[in-house]
Amino acid sequence: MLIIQTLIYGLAQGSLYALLAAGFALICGILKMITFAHGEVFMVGAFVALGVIVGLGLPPAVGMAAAMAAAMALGVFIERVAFRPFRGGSSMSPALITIGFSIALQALVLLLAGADTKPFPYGGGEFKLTVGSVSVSGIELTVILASFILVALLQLFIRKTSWGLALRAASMHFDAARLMGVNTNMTVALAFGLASMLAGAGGLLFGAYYGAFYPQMGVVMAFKALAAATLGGITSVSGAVAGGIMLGVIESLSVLFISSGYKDIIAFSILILVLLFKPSGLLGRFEEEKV
Amino acid sequence: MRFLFQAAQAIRLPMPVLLAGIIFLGLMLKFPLPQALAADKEPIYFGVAGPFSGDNAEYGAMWKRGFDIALEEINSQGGLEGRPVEVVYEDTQSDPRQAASVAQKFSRDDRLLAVLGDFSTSATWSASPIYQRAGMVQLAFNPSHPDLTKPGDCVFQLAPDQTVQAEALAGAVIDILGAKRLAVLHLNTDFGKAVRDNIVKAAQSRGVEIVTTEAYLPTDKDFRAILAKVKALAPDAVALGSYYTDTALIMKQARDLDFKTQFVASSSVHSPALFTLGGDAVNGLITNSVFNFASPSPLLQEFTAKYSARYKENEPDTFATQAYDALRLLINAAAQSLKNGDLNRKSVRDELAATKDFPAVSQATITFNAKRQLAEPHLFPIIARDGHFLPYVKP
Repeated sequence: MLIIQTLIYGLAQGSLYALLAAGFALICGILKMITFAHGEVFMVGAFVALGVIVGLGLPPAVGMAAAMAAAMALGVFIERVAFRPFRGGSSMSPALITIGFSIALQALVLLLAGADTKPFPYGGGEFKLTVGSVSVSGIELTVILASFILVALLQLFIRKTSWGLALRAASMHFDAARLMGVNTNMTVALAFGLASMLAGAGGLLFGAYYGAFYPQMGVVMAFKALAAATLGGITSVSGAVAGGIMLGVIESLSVLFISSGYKDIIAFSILILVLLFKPSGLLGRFEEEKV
Repeated sequence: MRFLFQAAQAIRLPMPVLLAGIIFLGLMLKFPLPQALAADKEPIYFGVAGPFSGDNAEYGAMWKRGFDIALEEINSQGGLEGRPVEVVYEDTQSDPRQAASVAQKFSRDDRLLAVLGDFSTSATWSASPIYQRAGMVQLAFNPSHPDLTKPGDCVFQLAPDQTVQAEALAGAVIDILGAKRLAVLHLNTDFGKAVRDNIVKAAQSRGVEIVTTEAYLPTDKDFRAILAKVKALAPDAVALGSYYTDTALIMKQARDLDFKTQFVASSSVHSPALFTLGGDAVNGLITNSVFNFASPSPLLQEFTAKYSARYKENEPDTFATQAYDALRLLINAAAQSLKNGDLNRKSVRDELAATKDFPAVSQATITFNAKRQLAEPHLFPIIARDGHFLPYVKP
């Protein structure tokens, strides 16, 4: 039953990747550009939530709302400053500016919150769902369910609302969408806002799941989520989510069957192999519906 | 007033400027600027190369506490022969590439007599050849790699090395607890691998079976998959080659998994921060303390009192105590050099190498051997219990 247990850990880790990967897919699907500050949006969301929960003593659900709101504001700000002035121009400038944002935000949080890793005030070990020798703790269920619900809400939004239609239109053909009367400025800001809300929520879930909040928490996560999004198809939200979950599961299984030291080598070898045979990712399609 | 007005006209300066000038001069005479006074005695400078941002920033923050206490002590006594002692910080993030470029900068800075750091073995080694060429002491007070001082006669080590630590841990766990099967989890760094190799050696020489060794990256926070695998192998004890942050996370996640086993770790986890992060989950962890707080020396008592008053924590940790001792060792070497009338990089190196029975905090006394490591390292087994470290005695 060890394998089922390991799959559950992989699923929890993977759903955290998926929250970030979906954001990369939203942004990249429309702008064909990558933000390098997404991990820091994730981190700022986590710290805002921690401040609300520990500093103000409010319940975790309020912390989650605060994380999403703060991350959304930050994401929209980054779009306004780093992406909008360069739209249609070189994609190098936004990339470099977001690298600057990433470094500056880490340094800012380091100064404001200090260098020490902060714990999460709620333990996760009280509630347990045990079936045979497989047990799922409350925090694992929370992480998996919350991620699932957020991704489902995002999909509903994209498929069922007129704003979602605008997102899909802009991702298919940006200029044509604008000519057809889609407010593309609003649409791009919306994509950043949604992506950042998911990242902020993911930040809190990450901190709560591992019991660790620290200024570099977004760096490796964003890097791996970007890889996961590429694996699934960076221009497709469902592809990116699938990629995130796959990456988490592959990592966990390689710990179980081979050795923890080889975890990243195996995961990223699979990534390279997939991209060699299917350059647009597993679910990505060229010039078709992308968001 | 009229005189002033005439004087202003005579030297063609507007009245307010002249007045301002007079007030400024008066202030200068009445309140001489502190720098102006100190300038007639050139400060003594040491460099610090360590992690002040990046993944290991919290350990650098602990160093600063130890340095600040040592600096306050020496400078409140008027420094060394009237010369204040100052440290120059450079952030390497304990990254080998940045450590090397900081070393280039430090070795060209003629004010600096010696360097403290780095935090990790890898960062220390990448800088060692540069300091060695400059004939500059590199006192790496945290790393515990057995071969740390191999790059040359300027590299000094203050932590008891991993062969000693592994023996002490193996002694505590195997001889006292009677563990027969041991698993090792370690950071995939020079430090973590040294812990693994030495624990494996010490355990196997006692006939203990190593069920698995698992490596993880410094950036990893997810240990559940590793722990589930180790749990299935049912070891009697798990040895960690980790720092306190990862140890707290590992033990918390182990508790979530209902993985009840005896955890042991090297002295790098000895910090009150272990409890803030790990809470009750770290109860029962056995480790080594470099300092003997079961029967503390007067110096250790004094340091602990200063530390608690200043930082509002019950007890200092390994990183702060070693930083405090390291800077005091350098100050002592500089003082000896001044006594002999010659203070330079070489004299500091020679005096540091000659350190004998120096009363300290992280060890009762410090004597360097020919390999510039502790001649007689002492370790004290301790156990984590309800927010405190207690001396470990056989249950």
